[in-house]
Amino acid sequence: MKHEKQLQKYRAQLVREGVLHSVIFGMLTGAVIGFITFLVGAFTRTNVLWVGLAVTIVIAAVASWLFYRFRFRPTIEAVARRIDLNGLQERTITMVELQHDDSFMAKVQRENATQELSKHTFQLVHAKAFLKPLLVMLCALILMGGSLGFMITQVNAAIDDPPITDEPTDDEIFQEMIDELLSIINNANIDVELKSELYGMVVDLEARIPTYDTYMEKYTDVLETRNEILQLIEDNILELEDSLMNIAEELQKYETTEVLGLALATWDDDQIIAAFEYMYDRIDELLGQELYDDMLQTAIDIETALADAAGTDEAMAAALQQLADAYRAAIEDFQPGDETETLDDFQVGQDAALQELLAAVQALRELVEELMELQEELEEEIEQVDEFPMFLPWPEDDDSGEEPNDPDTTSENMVIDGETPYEDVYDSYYEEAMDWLTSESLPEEMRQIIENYFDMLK
Amino acid sequence: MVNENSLKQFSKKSDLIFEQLKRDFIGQEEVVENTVIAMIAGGNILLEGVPGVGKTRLVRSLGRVFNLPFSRIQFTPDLMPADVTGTNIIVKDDKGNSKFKFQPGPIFSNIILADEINRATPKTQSALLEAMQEHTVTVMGDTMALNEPFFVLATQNPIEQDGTYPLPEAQMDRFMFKLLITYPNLKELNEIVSMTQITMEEVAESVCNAEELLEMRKTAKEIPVASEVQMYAMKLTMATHPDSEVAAAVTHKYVRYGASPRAAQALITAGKVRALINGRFNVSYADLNTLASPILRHRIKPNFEAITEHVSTDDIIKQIIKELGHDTPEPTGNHRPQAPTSPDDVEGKTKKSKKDRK
Repeated sequence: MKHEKQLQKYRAQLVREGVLHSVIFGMLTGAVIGFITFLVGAFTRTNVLWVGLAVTIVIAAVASWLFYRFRFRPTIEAVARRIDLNGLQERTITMVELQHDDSFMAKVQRENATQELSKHTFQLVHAKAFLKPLLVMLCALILMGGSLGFMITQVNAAIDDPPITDEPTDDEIFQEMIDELLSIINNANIDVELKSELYGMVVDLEARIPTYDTYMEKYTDVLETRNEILQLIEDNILELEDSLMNIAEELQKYETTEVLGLALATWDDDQIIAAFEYMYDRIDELLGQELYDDMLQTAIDIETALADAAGTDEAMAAALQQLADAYRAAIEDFQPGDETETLDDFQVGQDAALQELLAAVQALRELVEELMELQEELEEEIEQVDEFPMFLPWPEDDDSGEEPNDPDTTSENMVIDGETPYEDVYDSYYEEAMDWLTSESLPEEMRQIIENYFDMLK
Repeated sequence: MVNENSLKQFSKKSDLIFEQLKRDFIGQEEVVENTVIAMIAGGNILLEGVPGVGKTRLVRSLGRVFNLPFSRIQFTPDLMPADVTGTNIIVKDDKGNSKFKFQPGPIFSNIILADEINRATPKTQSALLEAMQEHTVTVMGDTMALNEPFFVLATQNPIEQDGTYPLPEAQMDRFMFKLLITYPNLKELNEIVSMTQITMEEVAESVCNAEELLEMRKTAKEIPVASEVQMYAMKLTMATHPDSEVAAAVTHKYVRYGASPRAAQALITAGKVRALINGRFNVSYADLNTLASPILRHRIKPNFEAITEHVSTDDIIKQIIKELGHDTPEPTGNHRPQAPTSPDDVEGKTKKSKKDRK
């Protein structure tokens, strides 16, 4: 029917209006929920950015649908009422109510209403109808944005300011130091004997710590144990270095092995290879008895050097012995005229010994490097820890009432009037200076200068 | 049964009625329109106005236009009920026997002008009650039907209230409209004087009779009312009651008693007539809003606060309409023919066609 088409045309306008209103109110609802979500995140200092955005979008979508479905979806009656507001004087709504009425008057009314509808084209939707809801939605979005910014600020503040924890107790501090020492020793590549010894020292330290009464006693023991560990590591390094230098010096005593000794002293693989080549070249031109004597002498010199060198590394000693065996094996069934065959056999043995020696030197070199790294790490760890200053402040929580070690030292400052002997005031000034040093951030060099000054005075 | 012919007839007759009335009655278009609406709807009118504004002339013109007998009853304090309704008198028959014969009073007419009704005693006023509502008169146990259509137009003077008997609420409720005739403006007064210098007699011609009027009444009754428009009429009525669920804020403040259900009936009935007069085939909110004041103003009892603050019932009704939220203005371009602009146009306008009038 004509009037139905007319009404449908106007209904399309109101559907668009309804959708737009629903979206605006849906977004308004989503923005309010988002505002609350971000506010909760701000007060709990939790980053809820994605959660909040997701919630906002989902709520906005669902709310938009609900608003359209239950509030803004236009019925035909609503369309009729809106049309009538344009001066049709309730013709349309009456027509809609009587649409199923076939009486004469209903028909006349329908015809009259349809005629009036046809005369005009109404714009049912006006932009200013959206103004107020849009403004409210905008305010809600601004509020949501503000709460989002507040949440981000609070979360960032929480990252920059980690939660304040209670200061550790003295026992916790010492335990931490001990744990760090254990960790370093555990990760170090040192021989088992040394590692066991170092573990033992730390375990003994752990056992002793609780027996002390004062902070100073505990600290002193930790410091001494630490120094002892460092010293043992350093001695081990020196031993390893010495082991190589000893055999190198012994080999240098003999003409046949002098070059090899010089090469070993450099720790350089190329030098060692060059020395082996020299030793081969030396006997390459020899013939008969001369060859036999020289090779035998060389074997004897190597074995003598090994016997005379103390603490030689086992792998290195085995490699050198293998070299000596290569000489002996080559001349075992020597006959004049067999020089070539002898040298060939010797070269095979010499090459094998060379590989073993290089490996031994490499292993030794790595071991020394690891130990030096371990030593450096220990020293660095100790320097970084605040509780390991060079000079410890007098503990604040010391209730033992213990007097300072020197009974002649007074704990109060004394006025220097030019006549008071410095010995009388040295201790107190020393303590004050040390207190100050530990509380101030000074470069290590400056700290050392001050310590040296007081040592000099003492 | 309403058909196309009856609608055409209604439109034609209503145009002619207004045209003729305007020949005798200058200005007061709202009063004239509401009077015609009341006649077609079958209601009674209470006219309030100062003397000399044309109340009697209007009623006489109505009588001429509708070709209906007209009675004027001047209400005075000594007027008796029997003077209105009639009474039995003793007469002698042919044989000389005495018997009672009913002598009908002036109420036995179609149009009754009850002039200054508030001057008569309540007992005399109540003589009109049955006639206005039931269109019957009961005298000494005998009920007699009045002529149809029956229409009472009562008047009262708002100035001289001394020695008067205010109409009881029950009787006020019987009037469909209470119309206020105001003093004419300068232009209208000039026209009135110019016209009456020619002749004081009414010149309106008869364009409708009783049967046609009743037919118009039947036609108007068929006009449909949308359910929400009807509900609006109910809300308008109920909003005048301070205790109702839809009472307006202004009602709570200024009203003591609200309108009766007759007001709601009057709104719908008169609304249908007004719609059809204006060429519409449905009742609108504007119809109800326009008729609200004439229908409700005499049915609302203001309280003491309204009296002391000089808040009239018309003010209260306007505020109620505003609060109900359907106070859309009526579009311009009325269907009805315009009033003649000078006495010379009075003769010439009668024969114009409906098309020309539009």
